[in-house]
Amino acid sequence: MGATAKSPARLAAFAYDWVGGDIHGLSAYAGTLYGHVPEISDVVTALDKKVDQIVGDAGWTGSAASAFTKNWERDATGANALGVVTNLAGDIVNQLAVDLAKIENALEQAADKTTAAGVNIGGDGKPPQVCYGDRGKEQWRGGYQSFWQQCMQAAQQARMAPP
Amino acid sequence: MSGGSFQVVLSDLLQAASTFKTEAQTFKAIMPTDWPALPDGGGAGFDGSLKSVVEALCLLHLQISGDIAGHSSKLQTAHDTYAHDEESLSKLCSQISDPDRI
Repeated sequence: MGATAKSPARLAAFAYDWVGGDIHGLSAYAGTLYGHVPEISDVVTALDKKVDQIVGDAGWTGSAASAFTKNWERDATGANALGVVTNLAGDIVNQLAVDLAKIENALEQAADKTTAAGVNIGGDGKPPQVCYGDRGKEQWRGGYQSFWQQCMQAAQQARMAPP
Repeated sequence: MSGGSFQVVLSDLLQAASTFKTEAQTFKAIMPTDWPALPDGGGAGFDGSLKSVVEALCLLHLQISGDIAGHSSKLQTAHDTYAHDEESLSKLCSQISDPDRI
């Protein structure tokens, strides 16, 4: 084995699934994609070494040797490009997991504070649709509703934005 | 022709063909050959894009593993051709040194 695989970033803590998406699943899949990258480069490195050995050390020369080397270099470039794109795909999936976890964490913290102020937050994290007669509770409800909408928009933005 | 570096190239070609064959199998095993189940991103747009990218990666990966296997076959063919040529030349040399055998 050569290079080691990159690890997905640590996620902010969260307990529910209010912003949508399988956040832990996304992070794990980023790890799967990252894991492919050194596996690809290990194969390319081993074969590069073998080609160097037959055309260098062993002295295989001539048109067949040249054609073979040229074709292998083209395919090695393709394999390396596959590694680069796989890593980029891993970065995108990893970034989405990180962003969604941050948003989910912030929303759950806001829900905790709002609940402590006497406002009933549903099991899905949505703000209550009723208005409170108590001014303080109503302010908390309004504030949470506004924050919930911001979180949903931020989550949607995270799904569209490139890293 | 049967001694020296030619023999070295022959055995190296055979060994290289074997290495390429093994590494083609290793490479093929890196990614799934059928579409893997993907995690839910929480939005149809993201999920669709991820699916397209992963499918393209899997296809490209499969194609490259096939190309690596193809290189193994080419190295084996080169080895077999050189070995056959060497055998023919050895036979010719032997016949020349013993004209009655021609």
